[in-house]
Amino acid sequence: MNESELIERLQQREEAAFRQLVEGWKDRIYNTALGLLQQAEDAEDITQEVFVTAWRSLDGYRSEAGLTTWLYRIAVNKSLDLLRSRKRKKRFAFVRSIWGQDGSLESDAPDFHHPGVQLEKKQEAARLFRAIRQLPDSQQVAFSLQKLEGLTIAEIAVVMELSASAVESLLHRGKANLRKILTTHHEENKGT
Amino acid sequence: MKQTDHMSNPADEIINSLDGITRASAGPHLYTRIRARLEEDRSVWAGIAAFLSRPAVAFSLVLLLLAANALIVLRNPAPAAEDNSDQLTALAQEYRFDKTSMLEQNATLP
Repeated sequence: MNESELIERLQQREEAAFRQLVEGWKDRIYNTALGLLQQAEDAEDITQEVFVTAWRSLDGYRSEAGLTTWLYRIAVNKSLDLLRSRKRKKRFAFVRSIWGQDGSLESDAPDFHHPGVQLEKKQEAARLFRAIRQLPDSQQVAFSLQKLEGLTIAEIAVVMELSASAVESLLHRGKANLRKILTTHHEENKGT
Repeated sequence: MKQTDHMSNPADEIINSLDGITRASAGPHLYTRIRARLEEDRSVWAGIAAFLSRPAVAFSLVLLLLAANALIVLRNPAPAAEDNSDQLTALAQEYRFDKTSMLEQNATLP
């Protein structure tokens, strides 16, 4: 079944078509959310939300960008929303801790180990994921889509609704920032 | 040469640690969970509808609506009848509908 046929059947609310959509795209969506959120439970939750949102908004779906891009876009937006709400909570806890209320300051998230990383690179990858957390949102998204999902610059540009040159620049700046963060960490570790 | 560069910059080595990564898989039964979530959401609305259609709730809501209407009506009493008659007199005078002016009009007739 091709994509337009699948969309047609989805818009007719066919259960089998929806199952096919979930089974065919779940790993891509989960992997994208996992890369951004770095937490398996949250990624699973976001994956469910992506498909629930897709099912509800099928009537308004316009196929200019393609089904895959549409789902990636929902996944990225939902993951970023969750990341922002996490940051807000962290800031609030910090303020409460200053005022001496019981807002115990959440310590830095533990190291994240992506299940797809080769065993011998596990430690380095964990360090990289820690550094990725410090990047601005757009650089994080571009870097994750390229490295974890293997998307091309053109594909990332469609997902992020940016021009290819803007994505290229994001990736360039992202890598430069990562290099800076990792070098600083390296120097600090050497010093202690 | 390339290898020496690589060795000299550990940051690049770390950045490249994701090369060859395989895609993580979502847990099993994802579809079942999504279906359950859709049903759950539907049941929330069904629950609200069922609550509102309970006789006691519906009756209370109707009473509340009537009470609100009554309150509005009582707080804004209708203007007194005098106001109406004043307005009618003014209108009659303006268009010369009063008796005296009609007699004056007849007197001028040939």
